[in-house]
Amino acid sequence: MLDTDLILFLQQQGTGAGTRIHTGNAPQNSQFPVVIIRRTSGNTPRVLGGQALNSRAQFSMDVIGVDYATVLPVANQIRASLDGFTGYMGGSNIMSARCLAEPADFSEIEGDQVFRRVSQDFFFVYSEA
Amino acid sequence: MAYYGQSVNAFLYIGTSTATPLPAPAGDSFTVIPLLEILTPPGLETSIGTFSILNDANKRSVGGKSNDKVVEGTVVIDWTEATHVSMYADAALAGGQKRNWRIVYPDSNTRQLDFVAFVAKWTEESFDATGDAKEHVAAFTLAVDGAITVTP
Repeated sequence: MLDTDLILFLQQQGTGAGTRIHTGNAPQNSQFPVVIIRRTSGNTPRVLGGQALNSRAQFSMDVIGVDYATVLPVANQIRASLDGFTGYMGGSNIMSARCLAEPADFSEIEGDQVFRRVSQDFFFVYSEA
Repeated sequence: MAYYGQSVNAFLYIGTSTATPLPAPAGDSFTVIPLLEILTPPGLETSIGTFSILNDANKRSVGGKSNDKVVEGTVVIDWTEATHVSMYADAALAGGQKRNWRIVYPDSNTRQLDFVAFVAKWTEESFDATGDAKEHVAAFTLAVDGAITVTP
């Protein structure tokens, strides 16, 4: 499945987030920086005979940390490793991977603590045959 | 009621024989065209002649012969599929390679159209780096020769 293949792929990139790549939510008390990926849309078109064509999926990838100095390098490594990627990623055959929305900076305020979040979107065309 | 959907389980079959004359469909063998994306069955249209007469305000019309019938569609190209290779080769042949063709509908009676046709057009879309890696598709046109047999 592309979601799990993406997590393994990003964990292997040796970013400052290490293996802290998660789907949906980060675990409580996670160390920073941490990466959260979310599938925000997708579809698999079919032909008249019913066979599936390549799937399409959009993912948002957020890097969260306490300062931009640690967050931005992780976001840039993710962008460099994924944008333009083609070939096998685990069991997923990636035909096209494109950064739809370049890394954008956000701040999250929780009590007296400020978190920095860099968010980017990717679009994948792939098959899992 | 026996109406049906139009997005799945409609099939186009290509006949094997290229003999002259072609065998009847019952004597031919058929192979389904895989990865068929869009298929437009042949439309029926009769040519119309109209005329007016002096003592009537309404126009008169007479029907003529059936107009040209074509089947149009698109396939997601797979060059390991012999039928796609055959369609390409047929389209390249001057004069047209006539074969038996068959369309099977997705209705409960599996309505079937049998007809003789040749591939009159095979146009592949561009390779395009400006978008995402969608499947490479060819549009085709089958020109129908003669009558269409409908079963049941």
